[in-house]
Amino acid sequence: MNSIIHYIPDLDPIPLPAPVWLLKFLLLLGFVLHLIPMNIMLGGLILTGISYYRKSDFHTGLVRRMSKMIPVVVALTITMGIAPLLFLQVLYGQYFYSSSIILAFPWLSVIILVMAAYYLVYIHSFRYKKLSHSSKTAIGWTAAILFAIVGFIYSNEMTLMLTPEKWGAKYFPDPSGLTLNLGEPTLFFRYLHFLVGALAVAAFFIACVGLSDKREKWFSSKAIKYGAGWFTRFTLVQYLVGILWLIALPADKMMLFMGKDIAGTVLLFLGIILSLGAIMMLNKASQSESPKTLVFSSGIALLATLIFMAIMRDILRNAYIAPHTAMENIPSFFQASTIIPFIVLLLVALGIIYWMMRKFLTMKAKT
Amino acid sequence: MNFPVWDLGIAPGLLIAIVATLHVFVSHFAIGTGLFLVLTERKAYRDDDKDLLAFLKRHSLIFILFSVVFGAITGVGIWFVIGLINPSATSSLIHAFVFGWAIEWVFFIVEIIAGLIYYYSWERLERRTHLIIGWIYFVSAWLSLVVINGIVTFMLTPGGWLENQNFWSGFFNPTYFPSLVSRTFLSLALAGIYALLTASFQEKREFRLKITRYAGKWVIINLLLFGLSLLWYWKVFPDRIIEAAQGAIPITQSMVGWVYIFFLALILVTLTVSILLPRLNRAPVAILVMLLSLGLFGATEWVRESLRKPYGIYNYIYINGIFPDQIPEINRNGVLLWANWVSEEAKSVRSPDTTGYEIFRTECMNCHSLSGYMNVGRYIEGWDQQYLYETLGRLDVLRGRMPPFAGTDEERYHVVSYLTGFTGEPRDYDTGKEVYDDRCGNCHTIGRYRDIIPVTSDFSQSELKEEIIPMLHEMNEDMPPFTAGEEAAEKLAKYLSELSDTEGQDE
Repeated sequence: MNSIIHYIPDLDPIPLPAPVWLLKFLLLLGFVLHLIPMNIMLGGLILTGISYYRKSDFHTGLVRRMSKMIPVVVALTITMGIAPLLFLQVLYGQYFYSSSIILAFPWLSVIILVMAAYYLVYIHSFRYKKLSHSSKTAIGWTAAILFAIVGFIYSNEMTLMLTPEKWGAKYFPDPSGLTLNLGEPTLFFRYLHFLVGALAVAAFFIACVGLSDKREKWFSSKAIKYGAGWFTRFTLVQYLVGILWLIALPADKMMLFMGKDIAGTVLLFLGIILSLGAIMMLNKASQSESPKTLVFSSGIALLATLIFMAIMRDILRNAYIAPHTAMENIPSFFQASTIIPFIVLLLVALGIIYWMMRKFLTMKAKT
Repeated sequence: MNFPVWDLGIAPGLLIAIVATLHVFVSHFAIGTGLFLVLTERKAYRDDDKDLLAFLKRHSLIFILFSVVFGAITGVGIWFVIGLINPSATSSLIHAFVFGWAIEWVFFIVEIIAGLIYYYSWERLERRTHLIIGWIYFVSAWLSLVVINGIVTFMLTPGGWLENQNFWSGFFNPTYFPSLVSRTFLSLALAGIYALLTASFQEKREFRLKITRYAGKWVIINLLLFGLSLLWYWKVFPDRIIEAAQGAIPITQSMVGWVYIFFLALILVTLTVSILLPRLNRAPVAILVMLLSLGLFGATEWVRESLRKPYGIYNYIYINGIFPDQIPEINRNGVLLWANWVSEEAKSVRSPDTTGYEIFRTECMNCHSLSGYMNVGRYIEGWDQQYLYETLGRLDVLRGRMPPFAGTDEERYHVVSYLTGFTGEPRDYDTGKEVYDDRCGNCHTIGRYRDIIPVTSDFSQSELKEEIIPMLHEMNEDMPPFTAGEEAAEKLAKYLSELSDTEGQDE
């Protein structure tokens, strides 16, 4: 028996309640919906943290605005994180549970770290006027670092689950769950790719904050300029980090995006083109009198880039898992009696959320 | 069994219990408080009560910090913890109910967004709109209970799902409705308890007393309804609960006792400090009430969880991840061959410290640790190898409900060799009762579950010593042989015959 396959748990005897493609679609959709607020949260906290050391009116205004928004963005990040984690577990449970048990302590500490960081951003937001400048700086940076650690733990888990050949050597000498996947050659660049991406998306978000600020015109244009400038710099750095990650991958995985896999190659190419487009449009917007359309188009290009990157990540995951589990052969059936209520309720919920958001965004200012 | 076992150093169940109790406590309170807020807000508008509105605004802030943050993250926390400790059962649940969870997630998003908007829009939205958003919050929060309740109750009473594996058969299982109703009332009672706490901080005396009385009524009425629905809940499986409460599952037995104690204490204290003497409701008292309700919650959840033993999902998968129908195969071919997560060394060297430990880890460490609560040494203190070996072969008949040991005789022997390291010195029994507790009490009780008196009362002390005790395993295969020696047998026989005499006189 192949010793790698030996450790991979058997498939769950209960068949999947939906076809693999549908569950994958939901996984990817959920992942992108989680990725966006997560990027704004993590990148936003870091950019806010840097802004503390700049004394201009713009930076003060930026910090104040971000401080109000971040708690809500954190709530969205957590809420949107649940669905992809659910679909990940149903599709890849054999891999996911095994590696999370090997990394049990760091994995479980995610809960405590997120809770601590979440309360910190609330303190930052609700006590904004009462806290001293240095306390706010310290609180903001602590929250940023805690969330960054959570991301790092996720990178460890998401890489270890794909490499069952490492499981035995990690688990047997010490089954207490006190380990990380630091020996993984792609870990550092993969994590850095997420971190830099978060900074770029958060910079873009700040441009959007500027765009939607109708009360203070000077702030609005400065925010768009600031957003465009940092979005450009981080995205350029991202190209370098992305290349390094690609090179760090095992050769057969790297080649997926260099011609071996058509979808992977095309998506990488499109991702680069679209992100360049996003950079150009946002920079043009920052010099424009009516930047709305340009920021919006740039946002679409960025969103498409994120979606393509998420699909590429899935292609990469499949390449790791394919030798052990043929995903397309996992028994499944179509459980219409639960899938249909789910979709209907999701649509109703979106309608209700839309109504509530409209009421909320048009409500009168604080008296 | 398919998954690695996390050797975390403490009883894993304790970790689940802590995270789960804190989560359900906060999440139920978050549901009930939704209704409390909207009804009270409506009352405040009707009475044009500015103090009450200011109170509600403050109340909803702390509520958000509790429910949206602590409730949401500990909820994810349960999921993390059960995935680490019971991955097989978690995988079963996720496969059976993935879209149930997805639907719950939909309600959860609405709940979180409505809750945040409700808090941020006080006095800024029209009153009517603000109330509607409050209602949306409450209804979606309650609907997430409606969904998760199906999955939680499924584990204890999977009902028709065991035959047809149909989502809805498992979801609307025999304990679904009693559980839903009792959880709803408990969540409403908790909302009142939380209001007692925020009321206790109010500085205006008259207002404090008013809110205290108002909240007190919420608590008392809903607690009584909760008590009634709990009786209904228990009616669904009267045999299982009665047996457990009589000692078949000692932890259930003691937790049922705690449910009574906390329930009565909570009713009495709340009645006293809110209705009879509302001026007593100051922060320490309100915190006491809250702790009592946490105790009640913890005890009821613990009863439910312990009733499920020895299963992760009743009659479907054991708590250690083995499916019951796999046991014969494992007994035949050996657990070492069957388990994915035993090392090559354990398979080839076959020593107590590797083979024994790894089998123990695979089959027992889902519940047992080597120190602290549930530590295995506590149960086998002073045992000799033979008794250990015989008992290990009969785990599924012991009180406390354990899965059977799965594996060959040789593998069982390896585990025994490993466990011998935790038994300590052989025991000297001072009294017959000690012998009884150690050698009979693991299966029998006195006067309750598997009552030992009818079994022994027909025999004299010398018959017990000479004929019964040495022959136990020949009379009933479920009984291990008595291996504690002559002297202990003598003490035991004396104790048992005296026991029969005293019990006989009582009748």
